[in-house]
Amino acid sequence: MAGKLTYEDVQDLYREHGPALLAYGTNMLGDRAAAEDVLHQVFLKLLAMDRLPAEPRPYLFRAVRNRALNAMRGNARLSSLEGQEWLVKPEGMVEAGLEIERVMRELPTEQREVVVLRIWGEMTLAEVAVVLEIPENTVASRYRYALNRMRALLKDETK
Amino acid sequence: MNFDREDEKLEVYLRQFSAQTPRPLPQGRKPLKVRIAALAAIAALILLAIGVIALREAQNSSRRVVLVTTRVEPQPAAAEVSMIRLSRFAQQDPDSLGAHLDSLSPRLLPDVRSGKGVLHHLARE
Repeated sequence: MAGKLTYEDVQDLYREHGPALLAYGTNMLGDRAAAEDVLHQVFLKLLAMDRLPAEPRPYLFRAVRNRALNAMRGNARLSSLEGQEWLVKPEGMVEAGLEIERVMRELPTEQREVVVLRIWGEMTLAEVAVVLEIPENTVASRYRYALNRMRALLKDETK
Repeated sequence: MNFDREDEKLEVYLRQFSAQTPRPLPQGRKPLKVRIAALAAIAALILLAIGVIALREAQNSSRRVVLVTTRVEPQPAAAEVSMIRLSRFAQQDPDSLGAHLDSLSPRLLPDVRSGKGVLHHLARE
């Protein structure tokens, strides 16, 4: 997707990756409004660039991560995730959706971000490793622990 | 990492729930071409406004010249009753000063003998 940047390109990227990036930012910051602010900062910076990055998706997730980490350093109150809704709950599955959000809150941050990138960012573990700038084995290990923990907490939903 | 069936089942279950959509992206900076076009349009409007103002100023100044011209036109009768002229006339021909003033007055004063105004009534008295 490298090429001359247009406003429509940025809007397309926002439509395509906005929800996953919002989920990622919310799970990092524990605050949806703060995550939206971070998201807007990232895309407004993109608008000021002459060209899109060669690989926009990892770039966007990395940019959201860096800005979220900066925001967390500046505000210690963030990151509880309590009462924050970030999943769409289909009709008849509202309780199940809330349960997933609750279980996600129980995970350590480093496991939670791997789950969000893998499930809602639709990335391979290798791509997650690139975004987080850590070895793929570490990603796999965190993901394994996260799934086991989630399975235990979700009780009967997946049976 | 090899996913077992339980992992895949959990992934499928979690993916049933999509992430919520963020609020719309603010407009932010427009593309360079749009900004240049907007600046050019503003500059054109400013030039147009300056042109219109300059044109109006030119028209007004020509009107002012006409007004000045009409103002400097002398009133013949009024000029004749100026203090300098009357003094000169009195020195040159004092006997006919009264007759001269009588001849000038109908040209300078309103005709109180005709009409129905207050001056008409006062003149009759």
